[in-house]
Amino acid sequence: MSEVTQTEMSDLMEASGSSECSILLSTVRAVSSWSRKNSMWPLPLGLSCCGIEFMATAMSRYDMARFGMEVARFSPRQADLLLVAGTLTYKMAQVMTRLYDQMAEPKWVISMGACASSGGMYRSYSVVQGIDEFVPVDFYISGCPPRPDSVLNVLMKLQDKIDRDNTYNLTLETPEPGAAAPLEEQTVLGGRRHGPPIALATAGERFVKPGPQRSMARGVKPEETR
Amino acid sequence: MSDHETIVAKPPLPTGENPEFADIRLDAGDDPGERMVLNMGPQHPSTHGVLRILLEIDGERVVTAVPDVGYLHRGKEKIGESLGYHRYIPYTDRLDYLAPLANNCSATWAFEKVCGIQAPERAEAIRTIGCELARISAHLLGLGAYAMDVGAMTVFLYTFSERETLYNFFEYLTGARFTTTYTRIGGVSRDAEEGWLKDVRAFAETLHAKADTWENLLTNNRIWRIRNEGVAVITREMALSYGLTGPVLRASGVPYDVRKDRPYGFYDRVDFEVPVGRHGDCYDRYLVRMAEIRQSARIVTQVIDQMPDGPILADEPKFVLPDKQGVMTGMEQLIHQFMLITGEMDTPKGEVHSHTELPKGEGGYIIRSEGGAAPWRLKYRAPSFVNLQILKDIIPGNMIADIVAILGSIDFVMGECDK
Amino acid sequence: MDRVTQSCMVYTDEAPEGVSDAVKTALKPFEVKWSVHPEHPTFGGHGGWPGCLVSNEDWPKVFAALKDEANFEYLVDHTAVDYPDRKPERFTVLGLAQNLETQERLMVRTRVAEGGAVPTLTHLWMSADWAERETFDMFGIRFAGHPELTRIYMPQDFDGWPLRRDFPMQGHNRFRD
Repeated sequence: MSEVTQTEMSDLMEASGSSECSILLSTVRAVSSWSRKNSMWPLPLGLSCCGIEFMATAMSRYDMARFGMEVARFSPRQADLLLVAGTLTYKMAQVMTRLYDQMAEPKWVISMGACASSGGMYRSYSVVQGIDEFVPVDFYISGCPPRPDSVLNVLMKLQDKIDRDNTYNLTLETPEPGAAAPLEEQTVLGGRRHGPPIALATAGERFVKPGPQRSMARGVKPEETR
Repeated sequence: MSDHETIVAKPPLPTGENPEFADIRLDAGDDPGERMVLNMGPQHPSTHGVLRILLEIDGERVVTAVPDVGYLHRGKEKIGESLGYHRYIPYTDRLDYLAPLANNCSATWAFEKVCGIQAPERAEAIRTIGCELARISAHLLGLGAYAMDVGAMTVFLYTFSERETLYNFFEYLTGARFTTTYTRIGGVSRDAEEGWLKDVRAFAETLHAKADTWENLLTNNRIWRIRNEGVAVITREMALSYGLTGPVLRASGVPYDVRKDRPYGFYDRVDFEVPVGRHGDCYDRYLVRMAEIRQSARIVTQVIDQMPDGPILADEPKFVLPDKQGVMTGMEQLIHQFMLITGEMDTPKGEVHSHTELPKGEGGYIIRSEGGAAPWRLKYRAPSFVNLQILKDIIPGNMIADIVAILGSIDFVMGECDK
Repeated sequence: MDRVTQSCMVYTDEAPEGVSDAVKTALKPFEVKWSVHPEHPTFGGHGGWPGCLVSNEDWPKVFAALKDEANFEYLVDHTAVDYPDRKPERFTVLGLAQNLETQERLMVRTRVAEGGAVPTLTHLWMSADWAERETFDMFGIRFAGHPELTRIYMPQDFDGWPLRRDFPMQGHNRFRD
């Protein structure tokens, strides 16, 4: 973050109409993380039994709305969190990857229950042995199905993780010539769209250090994802 | 509504032009320019899981509907054929995952027929209570989701708080709130305590008043009636031709209920009525379900009143697992359990047909046994699978917004439909 | 498990107990073998419904006769059983029909070799549509005259017939390790 000079500071105070300090200073990263983690819009992909427990999490007794997550969106374009709840079959897998691809960055994935995490009880000809064969997963919830308590626990853990997330930090360094490829060329790799979120890039700015997919999309070390 | 016999005579439908839908045939009709293909599901909040329906629409009106299932096919029958009877019971939880206890019982009744044994009276009574509680729980979720899709969000909150009470009962009885795996071949895994029975009885008695609350929200609600009355009428002939069972069949005026017609468990000793609809529309299906909730509460009360004493596991060491306490403390019981689970069980050869009344309809097993601890062929009749077929006949002619009402009134579970 | 080459059922010409006169009359024109299990009395009577074996050609006619004459207006279930080592007809196709008034049920069987076809029942019951598609999807048994015989559970490009006894539990999927 570039430093705020004394002159800019007094300009800001003047603009706010008060000589008293009614301005909270923070970093853009902290503010964006704070707002992201408290207005998480999940896309509940209720495939089977876990979907019912997810409904229980959202409904009367457990009330997920306390964490700013009650706005379940069934359109991937409006969702931040893909919550895969249930057994994923190969027939359904292409649907799930398409949903994931349609979600706007930043996006997170929770694998709810044994089936989604590892195939669970179903080591059979039609069941995907863990959704991480197809999409990167942030959190795995154990249980068959998990109780609503553990779903809430993981949702809070995800909020912590978003709080610590440095991936989407804006850096205003001027890119070295030839250091970063144009955005268009970065976006398609292995058929899956990834790369820096376009919405955050303004003219003249460039995201630096494009790394491998996982660390770039998440900003966490691989061992942290498990 | 078209006559179902004329539909049979229709020539094979031409394939849609869109390569994405190439596997599904759609009737383009005479005027394809004005029509549009709409894909509903498999990820859609109102399809209650992963059902996909391909709709050909003319404005707001549906011309053709092609349901597409199989997005949750997990190979349960193959698993049953390779794992064996004892180890298949946990998988039955996940068939109709709105009523795991009823599925447990259904499977165990079939497996007991294969082994040729009979569970003790007390176990049968507990199973019957479990089946009916599961039916209440499944109908509650079906009702809540149905109402929410049609636009009445409040009902879902009410029914879900009741479901949480039921979950507590399940948890106390079986040890798990959701996937119960409660029954064993020849009985049940643990006994129902007196306090639990007392609580369940009190719950069943208050259920009538609670059902009044839900009915107050819906039955005479003007919007609810407009949305449901006269929508998707299923005649008696259609219902029989499509092989419908459960509340969907009974709403069409056929009083067929396995509990009444071929009693099993404790059902021949209780007094209950089979609610039947008159018009066969969505509203009748809703009324039948509400009436069934009340009847289930009646059954639970009666069974608890005549609860027999005695053991909960049959004395058939060739097929029945020893009780858990013994396995944890005794060497012989441990060896016994190990041998039965690992396949040292020789069932008689033959073929067994066992069908029971599940919340969604008549479900059950055709089992061909060729000896050994695993069935040679295990076929599960999934009521949802059979009931869903009628969608292609009742959706066309309705508006797009009516589809959610129709789906909610059919009340299916994809885990059971796709097996 | 041992290799099973024959099903355990025994077939006789005489109808077992529990078969009503209406059914016997309806099935008179056809060559019907009744299945019984003499060793285990729970099968066939208490544990299951009476069953009979008919030829491929008679299969839809028997159901039509049951439906029209004996008032069996309801097809409860439909499936197949696989005996890989049975020659020449590997599969048994089963259909369970029911009379709603008397609650009588009859399990009708027919046998078909691999690659063979069984006449369809879709002209009798709409419920036979998906039921036969399911049997086709799981066993690869064709049903002649079915309006749209495609896979119903598995993807259309799936390789193999999952419920055949020689199909491995975990499949031979290209995604597998």
